[in-house]
Amino acid sequence: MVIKVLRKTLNNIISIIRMQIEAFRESSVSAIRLEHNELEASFLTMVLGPLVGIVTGVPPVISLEILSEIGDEFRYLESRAFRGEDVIGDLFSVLSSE
Amino acid sequence: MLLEISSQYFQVSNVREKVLEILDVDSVVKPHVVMVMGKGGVGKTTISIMLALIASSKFKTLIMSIDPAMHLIQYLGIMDVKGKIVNVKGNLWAYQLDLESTIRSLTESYAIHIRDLLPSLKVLNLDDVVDIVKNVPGLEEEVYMRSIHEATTMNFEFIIVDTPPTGITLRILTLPKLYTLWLERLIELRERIVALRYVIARTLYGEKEIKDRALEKLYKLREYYSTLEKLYTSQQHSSFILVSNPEPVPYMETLNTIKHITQNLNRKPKLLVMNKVLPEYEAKILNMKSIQEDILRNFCTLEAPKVVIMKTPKPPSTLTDIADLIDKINTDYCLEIQ
Repeated sequence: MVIKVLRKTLNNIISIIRMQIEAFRESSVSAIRLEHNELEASFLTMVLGPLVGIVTGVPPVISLEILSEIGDEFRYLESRAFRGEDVIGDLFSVLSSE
Repeated sequence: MLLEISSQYFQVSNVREKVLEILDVDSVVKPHVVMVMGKGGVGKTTISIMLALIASSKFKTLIMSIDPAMHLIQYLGIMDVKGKIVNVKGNLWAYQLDLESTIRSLTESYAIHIRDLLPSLKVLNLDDVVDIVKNVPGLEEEVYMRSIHEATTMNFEFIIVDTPPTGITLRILTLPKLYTLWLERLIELRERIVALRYVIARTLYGEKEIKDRALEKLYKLREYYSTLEKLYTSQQHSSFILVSNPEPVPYMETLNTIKHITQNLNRKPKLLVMNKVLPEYEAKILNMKSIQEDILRNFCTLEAPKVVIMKTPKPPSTLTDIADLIDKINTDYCLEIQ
């Protein structure tokens, strides 16, 4: 009985430590993630802009060529926009009538 | 006077050898692309076929027409083989780009992704999206560039390109440089994104490697446009032949083209062709004598090898007509009037 309680307590402590480590990791990469997200939004704006009337300078042919490779990023950008996380994503969402 | 002198040199027996010498056929890198440029109607297709006939006497040669006017297939009588490479005779092969169907198949592939990514376009059917994409700036030029690039990957030693009107051709020549610059910027940005993504993935999930399809695509595009840029800027890989008529507008366009390729590509024309020069009596009747002489005098001052071809009573309309015209190329015209 005692061993059972001890084991449960120990497992809880391990879980807390793991969560703590995870939280530390999350917090350490949050700034990087922010920069990553903003750069990705900039990249998608540059690439997709010419196709929806935003002049970014990128030749539309290059945009069309890359289109097939950025589907996942674009959908992620859209989902971020729904959660109201960024303005650029929101802009694209409006442009794509969602 | 000028025209009388030119007529003395009609029977140049080794004209083929002289043209091959001007083109420097033995020392250039193969495959070698020869772009025949000029205003519409100056005889680009005729000159292209002449050069192809001459080059094919020694080398496996492809004459490809990317001119939507499609004069090549009429001269060669290959009406039913648009978009295919066909053997004309011996070492000579021909290809006529089918611009409309090539653009259509390219835009259809783009349209699928556009519809997928931009839900607002779902209200349109696929044909409407294709029509929208067809009008994207640079798409026509892209089709031309792909055709030329594709030809260089085949087993030809010389590729003679009968080009579309000058404006489009000049864009074909300069776009690879512009595209490469933009791709460099996009690659720089994408590499930063991928580096950050790697740091996140490594820290949170211990991943050692991440792949990015967009970055791989950007690298491929950069390689493709760099190859084209190198093709157009290297005199070992390509030559420019400018065709003009002794009339003010086509000649002015030739001068502008020379200026453009000098400034933007640091290139000089390999050969200047003054085609359809009127015999003196005909020039007099048409009140063109002094205009023609002025243009020819100026033409002879240009820095590049030059040839003159007199206007024939009957315009060439078949391969045989054009083969006969080769013997009428005057390679010494400008030497004689000095």
